[in-house]
Amino acid sequence: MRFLALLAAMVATLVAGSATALAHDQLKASDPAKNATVESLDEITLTFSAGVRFPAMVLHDAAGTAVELTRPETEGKLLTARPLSAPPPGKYVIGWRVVSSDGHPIEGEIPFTLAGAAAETAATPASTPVTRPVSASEDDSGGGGRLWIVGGVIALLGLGFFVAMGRRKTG
Amino acid sequence: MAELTRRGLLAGGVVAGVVALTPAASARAGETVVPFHGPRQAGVATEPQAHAVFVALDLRKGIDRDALARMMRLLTDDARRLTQGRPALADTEPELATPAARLTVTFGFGPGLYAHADVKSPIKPLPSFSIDKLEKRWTGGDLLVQICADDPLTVSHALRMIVKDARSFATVRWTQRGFRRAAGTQPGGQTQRNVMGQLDGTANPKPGTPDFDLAVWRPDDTTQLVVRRIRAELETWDAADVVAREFTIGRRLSTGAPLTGAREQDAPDFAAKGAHGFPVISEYAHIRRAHVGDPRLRILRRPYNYDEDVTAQGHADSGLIFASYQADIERQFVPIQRQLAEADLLNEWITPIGSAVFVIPRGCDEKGWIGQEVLS
Repeated sequence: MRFLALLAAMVATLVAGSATALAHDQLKASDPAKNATVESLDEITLTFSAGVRFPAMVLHDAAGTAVELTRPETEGKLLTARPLSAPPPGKYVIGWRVVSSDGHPIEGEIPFTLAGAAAETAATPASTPVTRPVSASEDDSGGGGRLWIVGGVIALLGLGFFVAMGRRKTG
Repeated sequence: MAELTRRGLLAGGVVAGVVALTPAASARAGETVVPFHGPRQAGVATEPQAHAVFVALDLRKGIDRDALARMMRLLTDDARRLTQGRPALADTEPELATPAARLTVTFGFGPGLYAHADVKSPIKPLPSFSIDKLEKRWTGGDLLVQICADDPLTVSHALRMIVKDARSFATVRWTQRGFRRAAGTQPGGQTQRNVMGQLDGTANPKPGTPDFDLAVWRPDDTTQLVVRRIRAELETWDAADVVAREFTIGRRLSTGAPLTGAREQDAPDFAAKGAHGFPVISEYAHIRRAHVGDPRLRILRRPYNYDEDVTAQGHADSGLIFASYQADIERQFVPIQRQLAEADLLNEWITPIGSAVFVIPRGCDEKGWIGQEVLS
């Protein structure tokens, strides 16, 4: 019985631990939003659930050619970068990676379409009202870690069952 | 079938331990002696022993070059005897002189010692780094003695003898005790883990290679030592998951292999990109920030773990006594530390709280003493 109590305590600790591990920051919204069509692209803004650090951002077109961006800057929950020159209309993908406030890296891609003429983009002031930010999805590279914890809990439960059965037989 | 119980597992472990530690093997480990005499001081290229104490001393007022020479004659004599398993002169516990257990005693001269000797110091204290939270009680020092052995009682005895003989010349500024894996628990030459679980020192130059000599020794057989006390913020590190930890370092925790490789010694591929076009080894990963290609700019890390009293709240006070040897601190150590201070994911979980620099003078022969060329 003491062993079972110990096992229960270990499982409880693991579950509590996994709860912390799952609390990484998330991408809440982006401008441009995922799969949106925008008229211009002066600035890319990503909004996270908490302050993030060590940002990296790339922008490339459908052919995979990179569009040069300014160095991405974080301010609280916001991450912004600007294209150095106005890109021509077409399909684009924003790639981003940041370090969550718990140290866990998160990264993802935001595909969008740029409509309209490039010349207009350059002339548009930065304060132009933009599409309301829409929730964007994210790829969380922590999926493997989560599976590992679940697997560990299952393995421990299995071990406990085995021990309990063994005891019943000998006792 | 034997019942699987915790007690049974523990007993099994003890039996296995006893079998592994045959009397012959333990006797060999204890009796090994590291030569004291030679052009270069021992304790640098020496395969790190399991236990170490670093003691920094401040010279008393009025200690001049002649007094320093007297002190170094005395301390050299202690070191040459103790390291060979012989009692020091007037040893109060001569029975503790054996086993020598690979004892090395290495002397270092801080900038303050050169001032006392009225000689221009080849080194100066490190510039301040943004990440530093240096405490006076772990910083600076005129004379350093690094005492290492595979047995903690041997270290203890050597420390006592050396400090007793230094007392009339100097006061103790700080003492830092450190440890690595106990002797015999893993094959020699294997990279050690630190208290954060990371393999530490994979990229070290290997003793006996030309790269090692380029990085560590100067033509006059001296070298320079940086000792930094680096606190590990274990409470928050514990909250970081494996992905976060490996992203931070740029290596797998389990094997120490770079995130782009399979084995510990695989060279990291800093150009490799992941699914979204970002480097697999982050721009801010510790191994990228600390990476040095030029062998002349590398450093020899010879660190020890520390683990002091647990606080009443149950928090650890542990970390790393970072000790690095390099031919030129300014040329080799400072640029690496600048890079790390500027941006290193690991900074989130480590805090430098102590810092000191020393010249390691050349070694000596049977008739000589350490520091002779500086002080006579």
